[in-house]
Amino acid sequence: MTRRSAIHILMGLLVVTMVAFALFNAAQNFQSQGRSFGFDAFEQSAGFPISETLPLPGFEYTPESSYWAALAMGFLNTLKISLVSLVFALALGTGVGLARLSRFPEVRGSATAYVSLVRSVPLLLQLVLIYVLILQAFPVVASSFKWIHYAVDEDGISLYAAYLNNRGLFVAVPKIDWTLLWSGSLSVSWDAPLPTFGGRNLRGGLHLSPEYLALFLGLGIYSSSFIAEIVRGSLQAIDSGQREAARALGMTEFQTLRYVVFPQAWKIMVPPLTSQFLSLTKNSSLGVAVGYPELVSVGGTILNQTGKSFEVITIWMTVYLSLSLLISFLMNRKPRPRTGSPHAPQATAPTRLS
Amino acid sequence: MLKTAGRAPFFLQSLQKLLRLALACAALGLASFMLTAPSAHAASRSPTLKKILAEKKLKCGVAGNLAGFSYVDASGNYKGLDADYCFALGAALGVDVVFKPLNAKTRFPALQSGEVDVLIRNTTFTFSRDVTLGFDFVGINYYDGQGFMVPKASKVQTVKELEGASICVQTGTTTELNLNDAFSRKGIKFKSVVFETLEDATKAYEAGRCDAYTTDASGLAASRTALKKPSDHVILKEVISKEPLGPLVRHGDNEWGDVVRWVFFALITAEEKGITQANVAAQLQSSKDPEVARMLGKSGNLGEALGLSKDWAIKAIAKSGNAGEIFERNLGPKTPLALERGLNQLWTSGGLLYSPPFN
Repeated sequence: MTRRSAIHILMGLLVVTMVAFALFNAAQNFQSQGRSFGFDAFEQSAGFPISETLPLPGFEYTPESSYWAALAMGFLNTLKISLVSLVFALALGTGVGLARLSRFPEVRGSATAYVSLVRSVPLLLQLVLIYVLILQAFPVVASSFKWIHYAVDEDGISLYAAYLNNRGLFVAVPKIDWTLLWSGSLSVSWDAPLPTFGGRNLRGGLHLSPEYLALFLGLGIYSSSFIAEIVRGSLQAIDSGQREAARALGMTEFQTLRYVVFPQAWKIMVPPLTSQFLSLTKNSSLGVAVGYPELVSVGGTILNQTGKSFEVITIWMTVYLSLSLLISFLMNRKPRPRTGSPHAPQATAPTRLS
Repeated sequence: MLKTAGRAPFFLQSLQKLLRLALACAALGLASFMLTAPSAHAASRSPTLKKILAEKKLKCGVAGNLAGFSYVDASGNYKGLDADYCFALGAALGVDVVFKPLNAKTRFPALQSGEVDVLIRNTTFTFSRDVTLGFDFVGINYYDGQGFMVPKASKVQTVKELEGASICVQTGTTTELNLNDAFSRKGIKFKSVVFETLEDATKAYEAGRCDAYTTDASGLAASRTALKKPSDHVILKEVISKEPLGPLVRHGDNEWGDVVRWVFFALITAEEKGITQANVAAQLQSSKDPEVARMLGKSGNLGEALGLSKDWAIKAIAKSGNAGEIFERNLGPKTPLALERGLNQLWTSGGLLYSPPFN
């Protein structure tokens, strides 16, 4: 038995022992306090509404739905915000990263200032700040920005197809009844935002809340500063000879980046980018601070109503762990061999350190 | 031992060994029993109380950031209704009080795990908390109800007018459940915006994100004092739920529950009998009421029965005053909250504060 495998076995045993001890300890405490571990309580009806739910075909969340349904809605909200912020952060981060390598000192300087500032302030503070700014920036419902006047309701209030105010962006969307499609008829009804509460609030339509917007911007901006540094670092890590050779061949700056530098830099970028994606997904759990009903927020409500803290935390950990493993798996797959483009070099799998 | 010629046969030897072993065990058992026998003075059988008296510390779980109930003042001292009850309890035990600020999510696990000995954190007494979560409520120190705060400009006066409104709530409390129960019962549609902390919820309400803010009426009064223009906001008179707030302990230590319960009742009985923080020492000497004499330790052995000293009630009342004084000091007309006593006065004045007799 080599020393290496002996160490592996020892570490494995240590981990197993610690986990077993923790579980045993927990079981003992549960027994002494007369509590039980189980997910049966989650079948009960939730009893609380969720302010934003992803419209699923065939299912609508109501306070009568079970706790499982509430958790599912929270999870979908987490996915929704993570994906969208991720795309935004990647786009913005790449842009800022490239800006840091610009020839113009003003562009370089502002990008550097952006990165230094955003990286240094804790995310929670940035989220709360952005949320408060959004609430201040937009008008109240009564004086919201309105577009496309289409009717006047019975109280004499004009109805519009789109509203923008400090309760969010409301847009009328068509609702197509898919089940009637096969019979040849197309029934289109409109889900439009309608004034309620005496014209001081709106209900209906596609609603982008200020919570969603704040979280989207906050997560996106915060992660973009880190992604900018990752992109910059990876681009600079490519030997300048590559760039010089490409210029010698007559490529423009853009072509150099697109066909020579970036494909090589991508290999270097993938591991730190993966960490950033994982980080962003987990940071979405701060949504509860701005009122966005993602998984941690919904789980917290359930935890308090049922008292099943152990079970809810287990669900949180399982969900975030699975999400993180999925993201790392997708990012670290061996790339397919490229065919076609003569300029693009063959992408190779990362070398293993044996 | 049996005397036989030469070596005894095998089974007899085994029997002798067995007998000797049994005798040794019996002697050991008797010795250990005598060593752990209860000592001469009556000590409580409560493990929690024993630990508190040994460590000379009472760990009290409070909110820590709720005006009027438990908060830290400018000099770093804890003040508030709940804090005063903690101080009274600590004084009755003769130990120092260590406050542990807990939020709505961590309060129950902290009590369950033993991180705090008692939770006096404006917690509503409900079935699930008493039964499912494994706690015992040992009193109600504030009878409250869930209410709504709206901007005066909205001219809303009843809950029914909140149809279609957005309402800010804090997560992790009975508030969300009550809101939904009450509104679905009345058939009112609304939107709820849920925040983690009280501060975030009030900030969003102030910024106009929602049309109303809901929590216990006492919490509304506390939050209103923190707003930029308190007079621009009005608290609706209508209350949609019962929120009996009180101290709680965990299951499994009835004697400790008795201690907390009866310290609490002592403060109510003190108000009933006219004993105040100022006159408790004088009352001990001069009072002719036999119940007062028993409670203050002049006669009987109530303190000993609880596992405390004779002057447990005197120390508690001297530290925080009686129930009425505690209310006036923290929630009375001279404070920014200025809450009416309402149900929180003695039964003799039409309220619900009622103590069983000290016999």
